[in-house]
Amino acid sequence: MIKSSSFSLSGSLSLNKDELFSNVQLEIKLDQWTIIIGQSGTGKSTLLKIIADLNIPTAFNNNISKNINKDLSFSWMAQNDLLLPWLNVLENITLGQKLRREKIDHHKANLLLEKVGLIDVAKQLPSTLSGGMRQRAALARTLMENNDIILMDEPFSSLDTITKSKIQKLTWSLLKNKTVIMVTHDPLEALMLSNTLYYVSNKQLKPIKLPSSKPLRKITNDNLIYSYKYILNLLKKSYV
Amino acid sequence: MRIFIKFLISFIFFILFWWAIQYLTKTPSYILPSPYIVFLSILNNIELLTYHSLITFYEIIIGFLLGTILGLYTGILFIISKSTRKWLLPFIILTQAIPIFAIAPILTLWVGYGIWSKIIMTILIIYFPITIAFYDGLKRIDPMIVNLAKMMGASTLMMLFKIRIPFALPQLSSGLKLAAAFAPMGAVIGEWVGSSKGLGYIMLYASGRVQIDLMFASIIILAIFTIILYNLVTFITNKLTKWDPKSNIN
Repeated sequence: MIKSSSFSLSGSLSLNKDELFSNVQLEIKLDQWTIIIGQSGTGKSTLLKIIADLNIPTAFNNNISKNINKDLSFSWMAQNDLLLPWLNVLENITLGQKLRREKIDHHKANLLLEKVGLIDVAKQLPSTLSGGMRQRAALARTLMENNDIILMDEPFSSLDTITKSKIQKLTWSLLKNKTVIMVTHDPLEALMLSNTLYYVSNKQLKPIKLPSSKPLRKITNDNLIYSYKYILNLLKKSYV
Repeated sequence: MRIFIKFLISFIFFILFWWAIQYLTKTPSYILPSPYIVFLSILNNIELLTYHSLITFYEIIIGFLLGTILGLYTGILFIISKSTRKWLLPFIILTQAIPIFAIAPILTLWVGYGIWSKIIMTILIIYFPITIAFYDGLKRIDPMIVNLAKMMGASTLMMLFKIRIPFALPQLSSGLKLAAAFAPMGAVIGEWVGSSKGLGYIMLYASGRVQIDLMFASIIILAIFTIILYNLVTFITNKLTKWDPKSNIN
């Protein structure tokens, strides 16, 4: 069977009587980073949940149809790292295998902990770690699961600027060949990391033309500064 | 050890306060006996008190264990079955509106004068705080953690035992501590209503014969047992929730 190189979503989404997305069209290319940027409360996070078939509150009226291969598996990274507080870092990373009653692959877990720089705190509880370390543990858990699509809901928004920059680079380097769909409010992050960028405007998802350079762009030359200002302008116009 | 020292200091202060009240108000010992007279009463009636105390402790412990199991089972039932919750929860709340003193004579009539009416009274008293605390803990979980576990392929059982129940432990701990404090009350009320054994019976027996020192001795023994039970439950729940900083604030 030929593996499709993309999947798509179309339809509308409303919360109570307010329409959030009207006849939205979204195409996600596999093995690339697609980022959606926009104002809070426009339904971006709910859209991620719909993609993964997760429960959404009953107040939402979901008329979005998906053209997604049912065999695709999903991982989730959010602003809240979702680490279980009673398990240590290593146990959190191997949680998926434990829940599926599979044999725990400690070798792979330790390799991933080394990659994200947490091998020394493998036996510590999440409450003893900093925000950046916890987010790296969440990243290792995502890598451990090795699912087809990674959904990210503002995963770096609670981190300080320096930590954020480091973890963005680490996440990119470890997930650059995976299908990632990320929601963010940060234009700089969106510009740095996306292969495809959409912004929410007028209940629609509109693509933004990106510079020709590849992701993990450094916002140092005039061309990229121009792009950054351009995205900021688009967002300003889209804000109600 | 620190808890024991704190408890000992509090106990000494309580005895001093009691003694001071009795001494300063010159209250006759047939109304308020001094701590020393109560201590002598314990020594003089040691066999009688030991026999009846053991019966009451047995009722409390069995009632506490059964009430805890029943409360945990109901909490789980509420979270996995919406219809059970819908029909059973209002009924449980209704039972709490009925004074426990009103139920005690009926229970004695139904179950008899033996220990089971007292055990059921204990269960009735602790069942509600344990059920509600546990159910509250089970439902308060972040929905995204449940979603994450689903994405990881967790079965309903694994979700319950590896995710929901550990998450509910801090709330359950509060329910268990309340239960430990209330459980002796259930057993003693049961003994008051109809019994020929137990500390509740001794209290009534002593009261009828104006043996206030013996009555106080029973109360003191019951209080000490309640404090020990409460601290034991606190010790176990602190061990189970040591990962939760909010549950272990000193």
